[in-house]
Amino acid sequence: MMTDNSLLMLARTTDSIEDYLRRMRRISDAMYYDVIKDMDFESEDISTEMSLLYEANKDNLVSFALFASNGDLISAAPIALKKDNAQVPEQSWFSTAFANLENLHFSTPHVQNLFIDETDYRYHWVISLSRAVELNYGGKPRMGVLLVDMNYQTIQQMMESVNKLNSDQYVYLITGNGQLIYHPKAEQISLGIHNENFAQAAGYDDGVYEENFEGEKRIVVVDTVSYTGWKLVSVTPIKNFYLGMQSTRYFVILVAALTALAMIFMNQMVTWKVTQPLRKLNESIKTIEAGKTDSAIYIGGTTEVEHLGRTLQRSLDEINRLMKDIVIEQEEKRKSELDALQSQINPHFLYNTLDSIVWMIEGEHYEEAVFMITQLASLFRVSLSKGRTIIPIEDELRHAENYMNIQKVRFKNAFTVNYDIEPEIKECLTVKLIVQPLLENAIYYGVKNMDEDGEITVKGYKDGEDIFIEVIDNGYGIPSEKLPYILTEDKRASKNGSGVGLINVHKRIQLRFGEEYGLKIESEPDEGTKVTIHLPAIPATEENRERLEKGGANG
Amino acid sequence: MAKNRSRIILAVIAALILSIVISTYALVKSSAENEDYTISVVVEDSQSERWNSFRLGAESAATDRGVMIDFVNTSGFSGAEEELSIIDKQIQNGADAIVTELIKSGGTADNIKDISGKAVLALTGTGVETDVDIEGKFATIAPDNYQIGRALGNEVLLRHQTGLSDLRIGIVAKRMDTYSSVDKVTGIFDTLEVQNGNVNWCIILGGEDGDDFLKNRAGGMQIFRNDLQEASLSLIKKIYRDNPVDIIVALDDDSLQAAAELFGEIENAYESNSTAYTYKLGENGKLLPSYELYGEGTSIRNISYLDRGRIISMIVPNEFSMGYIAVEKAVSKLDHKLTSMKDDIVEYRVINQENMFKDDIQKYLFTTMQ
Repeated sequence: MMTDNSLLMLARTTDSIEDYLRRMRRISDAMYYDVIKDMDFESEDISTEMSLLYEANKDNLVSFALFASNGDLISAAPIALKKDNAQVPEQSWFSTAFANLENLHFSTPHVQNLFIDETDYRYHWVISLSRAVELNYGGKPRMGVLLVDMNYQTIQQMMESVNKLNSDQYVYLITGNGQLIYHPKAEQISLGIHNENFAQAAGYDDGVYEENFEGEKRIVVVDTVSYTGWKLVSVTPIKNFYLGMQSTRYFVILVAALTALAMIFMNQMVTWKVTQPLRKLNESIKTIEAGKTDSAIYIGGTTEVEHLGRTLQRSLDEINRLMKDIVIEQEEKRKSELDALQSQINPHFLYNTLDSIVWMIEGEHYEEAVFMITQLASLFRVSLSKGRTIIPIEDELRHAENYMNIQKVRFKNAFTVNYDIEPEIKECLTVKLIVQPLLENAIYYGVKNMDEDGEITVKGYKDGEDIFIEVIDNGYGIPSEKLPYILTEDKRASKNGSGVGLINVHKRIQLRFGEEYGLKIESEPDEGTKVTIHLPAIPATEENRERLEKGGANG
Repeated sequence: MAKNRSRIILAVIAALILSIVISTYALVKSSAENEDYTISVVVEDSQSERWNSFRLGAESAATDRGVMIDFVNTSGFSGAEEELSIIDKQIQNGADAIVTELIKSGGTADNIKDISGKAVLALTGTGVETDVDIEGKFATIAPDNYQIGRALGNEVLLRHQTGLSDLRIGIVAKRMDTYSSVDKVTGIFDTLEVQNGNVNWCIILGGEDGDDFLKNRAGGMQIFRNDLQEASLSLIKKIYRDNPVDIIVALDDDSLQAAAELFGEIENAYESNSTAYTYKLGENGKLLPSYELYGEGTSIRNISYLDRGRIISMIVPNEFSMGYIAVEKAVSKLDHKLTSMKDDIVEYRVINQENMFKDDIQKYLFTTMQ
């Protein structure tokens, strides 16, 4: 497309230049054939005719001049004085005219160096059209040169008008042998700032060529000006073809990228809007999974998500309810197990005690039998405690004392019991029947079979908001390897009754008052054992008791 | 899975943003290539034809680089302050770069620092006093003025190979305030081996400096200044009439033109049979110039005087090149602000009547605009 335009533009310019040069040739012909040939230079003056022809064409001409073969000026228009130092015969247009007599010769542009004008300091760039002419001097022919100095500005203006069309594309004019006539950057070329490959262009025939000049690819279109053999060359850098396209490409990329970005942004917005309730729902489920079963499930968003949330919340509530039921059930079960354990001990003890009483009655030890029965009655009274689980420490200690009194009789005072109880702890509450199993342990596994006198000490004291009841014996003690497992379900404790009682007490205290309370066992083999009951100091009021009965220390 | 998806989306967004940035940059850059920089050219008496080549060079570079050029309309400067104030005004009016030929070289360091801080600066014709320019914020594009002086001296010597001892020499300078004038005089004096008394006089048409330098170089030389603000020709005529010399060397275009026009005055005096001058006649009885004139010039008027034989030999600096390179350097600096500007030396040629119409010389001498 661009090449077609170049061809068209070049053809038009060539036509204009050809037309101009044709006119110049016609002027020269008119001067020669119509004026010079008819004139006898010996008697006639050519200046009037020359001036007339000059005036008619002065827009495109700088001067007309007729020179004799020795370079003397015969006539010129406009009338002017020849410079003394002009040296006409040495000027190229002059010698060229004589070199080929038949032809008209167009020179390359040069500064006219012929005339002098004292009032005008101008110099003219001209293209000289010269031809050898035959001058009639009274019938004798002499040779001369007719010179038409064409104004170079005319060609320059023609070329400049073409070169204004496109800043990157340019057109230049050279002679057939590559001499410069016009180039938009002629000054830069003569300075070496810009280069042009005139020699190669001069060798081209008319047509379109692609060439690589100084690393730049370009399209060169050549058209020859008829008669002169001048070549009009249009040069278009190939990058020029892509220049507009490149900007369009960047613009398309920009628009496409912006559109894609906007679409992604909108897509993310819509996705976020749709998935946000699901994310919230998911987050709330994660919170529950992390163990916070009492947190609420997110209910919101679209109808479907809201429905899902509600359903999940209902399911969670149901699960929580069932879990609570299971916990309660388990507790109940545990309690019933504890009760069963507790009831396992009593018949055995009762059997032994009654057996002792029978033995006393048979031995007519009535007072001792009465004491035993009284102690047994007191023991059962505290055991029953009107069905209460929580009783004052005072009652618990009395129960322990009753038990020890019975056991002392049974074991024939094989051991002694010391009580060291701070009175203030008696006014606090405890779970019932926690000291007696410890005493039972101290007797059966501590002091029962001792050779020396067994000694059991029951010590009760308050430390801050805590109450400690210690049952200390000087029995055989518990082997150190078993000690860590006494209060666990671990089989390594080899429970043969003793452990069962302690675990029972420990769990009952913890169940009622919390994990931080319970039993602590310290024992040294052959030194004895100390079992400490740790309880909170809760004053023995009816209100506290009822609260503890219902649930525990916190409930 | 969700993490991978997010990463892919982020990567796509990053790629898109990158392409937006790159394509925007490319678009802006392609439009910025034709950015309208304005370059102001401030020279004394800018409408003088002596600037024709310089102006054509500057305008050609502006066209080649696609920038606006403002050849500021000026007349003769009353002093360096006037020139600096015009430059300042141009910067205030939005000039991105200044191309200027300062009329005074000394004491300009602060001005140069100030101007080059506000706009790109290309100095032409002469060097000036400056601070050390590490950043390359300005550059000087000028011919080697000392060598021009030497070339002028050589031209004189070529025609007087027997020696200069009997010859009277006069020097004409528009100003002696610039380093270029001082360098030229130094070059001339070095070549002619000027001692005390060799040079009769020096006419300084304007400016204020130079007396000390000239007295130091040639103590016996008379220095004439244009104290009455006369026309250059009138002053030269008066001094020549009273102190005729055999050789006049003009340091610049204006001085050369005035010195060449002196012959017109002598012609007039001859025609009116005045005895004010000593006349020199040729073999054909034609009046010849009674002094040999050498000098630096660029204007078509001086070329014409050379053509007519009034000037023996003329040094012509490549003013087209000077204008072109100055604008080219200024635009390059505007395009690449971090690149430092570097000084450049332009060529000069020795032109005389014999060679002035040779193909390469006429292309050098006569721009197609003339």
